[in-house]
Amino acid sequence: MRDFKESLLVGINAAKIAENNREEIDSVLKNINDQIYDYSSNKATFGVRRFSREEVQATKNIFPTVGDLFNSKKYVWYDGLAISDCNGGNPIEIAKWSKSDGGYPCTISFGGEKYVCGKKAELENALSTLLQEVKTGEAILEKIRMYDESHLSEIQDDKPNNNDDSD
Amino acid sequence: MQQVVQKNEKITFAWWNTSLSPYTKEGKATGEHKDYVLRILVQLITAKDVDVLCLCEVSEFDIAFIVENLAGTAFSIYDGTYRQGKKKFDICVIYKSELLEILRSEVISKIPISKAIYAGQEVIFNIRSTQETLALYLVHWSSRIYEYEDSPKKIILGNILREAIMLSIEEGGIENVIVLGDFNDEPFNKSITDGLGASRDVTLVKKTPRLFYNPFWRHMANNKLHPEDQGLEGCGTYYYKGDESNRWKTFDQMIFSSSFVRNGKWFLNESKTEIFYDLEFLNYIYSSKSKFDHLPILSSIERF
Repeated sequence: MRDFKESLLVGINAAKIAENNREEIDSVLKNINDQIYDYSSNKATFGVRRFSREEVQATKNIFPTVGDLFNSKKYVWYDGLAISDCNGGNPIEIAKWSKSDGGYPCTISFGGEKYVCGKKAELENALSTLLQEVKTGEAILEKIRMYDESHLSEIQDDKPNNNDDSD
Repeated sequence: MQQVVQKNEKITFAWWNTSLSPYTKEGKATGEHKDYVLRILVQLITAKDVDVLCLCEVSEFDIAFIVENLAGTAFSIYDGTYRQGKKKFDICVIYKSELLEILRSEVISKIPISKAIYAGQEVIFNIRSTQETLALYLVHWSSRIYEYEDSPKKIILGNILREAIMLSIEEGGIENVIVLGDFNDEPFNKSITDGLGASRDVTLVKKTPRLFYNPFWRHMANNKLHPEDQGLEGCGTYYYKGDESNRWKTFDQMIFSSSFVRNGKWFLNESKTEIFYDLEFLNYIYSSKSKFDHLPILSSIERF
């Protein structure tokens, strides 16, 4: 009987490495999230979110059928890095994100560049560059502003009406 | 009875380092040089039926010149020239817009310590007739004056490309990948074999989908056997007259993802993989007065 033990151990070891890699990547992203949450006084968060984009497809036929017209818009789903509300909602995409099964390599795409990260230090360097982008700063400020505005209106709604003849 | 012969669908690619705007001499090409570039481009399009022409050592001014002269033809241009600090990108793609449309493009980079290093440009096309995706990775790595042969940085560049491409294939579902460019390294250098994972062994690539196939191993020597050789043909794509032992080097290559030699819908027609030899142009390259030092290379993919 053929002995598969060696192959099995290789697979299990690869799975363990992949799990460690994914945990390491998650901890780097969580660390950034914690710092953004803290900086924004709990008003903005950071993390991976799912987005879709429309890819216009050229029709193959010279005389398109109704079906062709319906099929000419194709939606592609992808992962992105985003700044979101304090509860993780309404994400603003700041980069595209892709990760292999083994965790590394992963890629971060923004500003016309795709940064390939093969280990933790490279991931941290690419994320540090992303955080320095104007777009990232604007997204964080936008979330802070939206939070402040929504809470200001809540406070105003809760205030007693001065015209009330309560006495 | 007349036999109906079904013609294969094909896309022919060419790559050429034009020497129009080398790193330190941007926009200084003579009128004669520019005219000769146009002449070669027209020859590639008409005589070799090229559909996608990828050029390097071009500036935005050179591209404007080419656009002006290609006006009214079926070709569109992707302008991949721009500056990022000291780094200058000098690439463009001239493509038949009835065959392909560009979906997106990105520069492939990595920040190992604090500064980004750049491995190439990724240009993603939609093949109009089949609605399939085709990814081109365009490379113009540093001259050996700046990065010596088999330097660690060159191997890293190959590996960055490999990581980006494997993610596109395995996570992005893009099967049709062609890496083409002036690597300033030969097919046997570690940047290409170990870094990028490009093999000369087509049988092994068929069995190992994560390898790439490099047909340019076959183009490192003059294919005319002595005494049939004329003494004029080159034996590579780049001519460096200062080399004492081998003046010709195969720095320009096209490298294919395994689907093109395995089970993909599109396949590499290796009989169409060639270096563009033109006697007059070769004499230009040998001339010390000319700035030309690279020959164009060609290859075709086909689909039943």
